[in-house]
This record gives sequence, C-alpha cells and structure tokens, in this order.
Amino acid sequence: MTISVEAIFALVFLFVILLIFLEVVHRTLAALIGAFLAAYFGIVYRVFGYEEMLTFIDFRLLIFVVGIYIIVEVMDRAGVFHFLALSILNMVGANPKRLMIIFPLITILISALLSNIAVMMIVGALTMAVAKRIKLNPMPYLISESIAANVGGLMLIISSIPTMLVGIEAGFTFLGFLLISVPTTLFLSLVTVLICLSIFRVESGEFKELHFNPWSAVKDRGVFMRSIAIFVLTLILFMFCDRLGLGMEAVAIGSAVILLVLTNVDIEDILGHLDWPTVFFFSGFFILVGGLEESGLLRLISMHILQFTGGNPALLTLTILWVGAILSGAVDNIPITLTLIPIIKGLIPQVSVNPMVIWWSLLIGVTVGGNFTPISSPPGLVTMSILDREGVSGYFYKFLKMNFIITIAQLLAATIYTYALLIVIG
Amino acid sequence: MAEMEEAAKSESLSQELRKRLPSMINNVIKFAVLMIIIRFVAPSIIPSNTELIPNILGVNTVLNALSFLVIIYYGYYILRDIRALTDRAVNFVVIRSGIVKERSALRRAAMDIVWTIGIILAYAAVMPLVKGAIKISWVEIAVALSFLLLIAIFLYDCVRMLSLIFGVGIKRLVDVVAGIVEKAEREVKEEESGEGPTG
Repeated sequence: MTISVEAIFALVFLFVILLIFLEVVHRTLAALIGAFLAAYFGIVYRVFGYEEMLTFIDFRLLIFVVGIYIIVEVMDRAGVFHFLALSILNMVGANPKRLMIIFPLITILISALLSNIAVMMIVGALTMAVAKRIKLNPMPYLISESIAANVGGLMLIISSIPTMLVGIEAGFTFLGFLLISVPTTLFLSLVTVLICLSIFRVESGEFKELHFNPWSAVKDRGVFMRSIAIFVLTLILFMFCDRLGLGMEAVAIGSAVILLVLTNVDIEDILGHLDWPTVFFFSGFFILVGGLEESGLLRLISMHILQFTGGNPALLTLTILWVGAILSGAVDNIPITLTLIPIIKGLIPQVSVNPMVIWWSLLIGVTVGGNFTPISSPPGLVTMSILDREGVSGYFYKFLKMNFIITIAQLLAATIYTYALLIVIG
Repeated sequence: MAEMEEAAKSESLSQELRKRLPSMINNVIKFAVLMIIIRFVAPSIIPSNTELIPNILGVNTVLNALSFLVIIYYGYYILRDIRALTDRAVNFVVIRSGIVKERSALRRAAMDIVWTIGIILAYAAVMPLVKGAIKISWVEIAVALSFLLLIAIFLYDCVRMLSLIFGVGIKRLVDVVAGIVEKAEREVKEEESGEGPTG
C-alpha cells in the first residue's frame, strides 16, 4: 500500500483543519502540528529540502503583524479608542434608533484600526453603559456591533489579519488598497446598518443627551498625543512607502519602535500582551501551506476550480466569494485565507480578470463569512460573554438566527458588489 | 448518547470473549460437520445425478438448497458472535483513545475520522523508515496489516456512530409519520361514530 505525496499532504491539511474545527487542540498548536507533519513528509518524501522549507515562512508578514500589534497595543493603553468612542457618543446623543446606526459605525471605524476582539470589548462595554443609563435592551445593539466588527476589518490594509495577508501577498500598496476598501466597507456598512434597522425595528424614542467625559479614558495626555501623532505619521508613511523604497513591514516595525521610545511604556508588559499565538499560528501554517504548494496539491485544486468555472470571470469571482465565506463560517478565516492565497495565485495567470477583483472577492468572502454563527467569529464570542456577564439568558437562538440572516443578506449584497466591481475594473 | 454510554459500560472484552468464543467455535464445528455431510458424505452415498422427481427435482438441487440453508442458519449465529466481539474490541481500542468521552455521537464519529487520518499519516511516516531499516518483506506486511486493522477499527466505530445518528433520525421521522397517521385514523373513527366536530 503506497500513498501518493499529494494524498499525504491533503490528509495532513484535513487533519489540521479537523483539529481546529473540532477544537481538539488550540489552533496554534494545530498549525504547529501541521508544520511538523508537512516538514517531516516534505523532507522524508523528498518534496522539498530543509533550506527550501525555511523560505515558506513569510517573515515580512510576521514583522508587519508584530509592528501593527505593538502600535495598536500602545494606542489602546493610551486610551485613544475609548476616547474616540466616547466623543462620538456625546455628539450623537441617546436616541435608540440613532444609536442603532451609530454603534455599528463606531465599531466599524475602530475595528479598522484595532483587532475585532478588542473593538467588541470596548464598544460592548460602552453599549452596556449607555443601555443602563437610558434603559435600553442591549441585545440588538450588541448583535449588530459583533457583525459590524468584522466588516470594519476590510477598511485598511492593517485592519485585520486577512487584509494584511492578502495585502502583502498580493502586493497591494496602501493607497491602492484604500481605493477599493473604502467604497467596499461603506457599501457593506450601509447594508449591515439597513438590515439591522429593518430586523430589529428599533423605535425612534426620545433624544437624550449623553454626558460622558472622553478624557476619563486617558491616563496620560502626553502619551495619548504622542501615540496619535506617531499613528498619523505611520499612515502617511504607509501611503508613500513604495516611493521611499521601503516595505510596509519596515514602516510598521519602525513606527512601533519609535512609539515605544516616545511613550516610554513598559516594553515587557506590551510584548507580553501581544497576540503571540497568532504569530506562531502563521509560522506553522506557512510551512503547511508551503508543503501543500510544493506537493502540487494546490495546483490540482486550482485546475479543478478553473474547470468548474470554465474560466468564466463572473463565476470564478463569485465561487471564490462564496467558498471563502462558507469555509470561514466553519473554520477560522485565517487558515482559510492562508490556504486560498496560493490557489488564487495559481489561478490569476490563467484567467483574463483583473487580479484585484479576485483578491477582493476573497477578502469580502472570508471577512463576511466569519459572521455565519456567533461562535464562528471572535466578536460573536465576546458578545456572548458580555450578555452572560449581564445575566441576559435565552439569547443564543435569536443571535444565531440574526447572524445567519444578516450574513446571507451581506453575501447577496457582496455578490452584486463584486459583480459590479468586475464590470467596472475587471 | 445512551447507547454510547451503554457500549462503554458494557461487559469487558475478556468477559465477552469467554461468553462468545465457545458458542462461536461450537457453531463453526456444527457448520463444518453439516457441510462435510452435505458436500462429501451425501454425494458418495447417493449419486448426485439421481432424480427424486424426474425432470423436476434432482439430488444435486436438494443438496444445494440444504447447504444454502445451513450457511444462512449457522452463518447468522457465527456472524452475530463475530459482530459482538468486534464491537467489544472496537470499544476497547476506542476507550483507550479517549474518544468515548466525547459529547455526542456525531462528534465521536468526527473524532474517529481524525484518528483514522492520524493512523494513515503515522503509517505514511513509519513505512519509509521500516523499508529502509528492515529489508524483510513480511515485517512490512505485518506493519501494514496492523495499521490497516487500526484504521478498520476506527472506521467501523465511525460507521456505527453514524448509523446510530441515522437510526435516531429515522425513528423520529417514523414517530412523526405515525403521529400524523394516528391523528387521521382518530378523525376518521370520530367521523364514522358521528362524534366529530360539526360545522
């Protein structure tokens, strides 16, 4: 009984995905197991050598992610995001219907910069504070925020792990990404808010003023001002880094170092709070996906996708959109993005479509798909923990139903949007 | 779930072996003796081309029908014992893998698949080393067979769990259909006895 190399790598991948899906072990450990198996089979079956295997790890992306994590962690500690949210709430006041629009929008705005777990924790806490003050049912607001948190992850190249992955791997420039991301996020935000408004049927109610003190979230005004200044500088450098001959990872890590020096924060504390499991997850999954690529399995999948779609641009982009969404609903969207990137890279030279459309259909799919169930996305899990903490019971079925309806509506809207994108720039 | 727990708690493999093995050996012996009589002894006493009812029923046909009946009768008892023993053996292995503690039958089936893939990967990992280190073909075959046995055990448990889930689903469906039929029958009876609701 002999097993082909392609079959072995397919089994390794399936094994890792099942470990993640069934939550047998932590996803980082699953990725490291996958890396170990891929390395073993790759070397023993002479698919690749040890030196070649090391090139599978995209160190540029790892540096970029760590840099962004440091910047965001320092800004969060400086109270920037809390300050932003409280200021906006003061401006809009406490009208239930208006809050139904504003809370998701605040979530989208902040999640463009912060990880969606942190966003949900900040906005969720604010929502509970406002709900208690003006006696509102917090559930519809929290549900809409948890869905919006994922949408906001499309705004900037630094907004979420899938955008960073696709941005770096597809070679997007900061401005080039922004050109498509802004209308995409605005469109999906509009769709999300409209669906939430129509589903939850929040009444207008009376307007009440909210008097939060935004500065209460800021411990040190000096650190606060310096972190905003460095962040603005980082964004400017991102826009011009290609002209300066720098990679985005250099800007990210450089800005992080400058921020650490200027804010004089406890570096051990900051580094201790970074999302290291995700960084290790990347390293492991890079080796696994590299192995899949070298074994020829991903080329085979690309060929099958091409055969299935017959090279039809519309069918191809929509297939990627929906497959990405459904898979991300079942498993974490990071491994799905990591696996689909090389497949798409293999497809691009064979089809006459603007690669931007294909990359964007992938990004929209994996981002929106995470909302399929409350437990398939981190913001959904945070929302459930907030509702549990507040003693709200019997919400799961409603949460599940709402998530599903909204995600399907978002995907239908995304299908129209992607098709339009194909017509305009494809 | 109840069946799963029951399976885990039920008699041990050794107890099952004590109970089933004698009955299985007994049945195999009876089966063999009967087959020898039908296939070898009987044809030597009565020539197989003898016709009991001319042009309708020959001895050969009767002997074939008899062996068919013996195969079905003893085959059923032998297979029943083999199945019971296989179930215990599978439980024995599956309990050691920790799968039995899983929350639901579906999850247990999924974990069986994870184990099956793991064993296939272990086989793929070990075989190049075995081939390189020990150049004896029967060792290779023995290793392959042991892995194959483990794979068969987990796949068997997976199929058993899936059939359990499927069975529960079918039972529910049957209950629903039976409920509808029962309701319709009641209505017909009520109409026939003139006690039904009147407009």
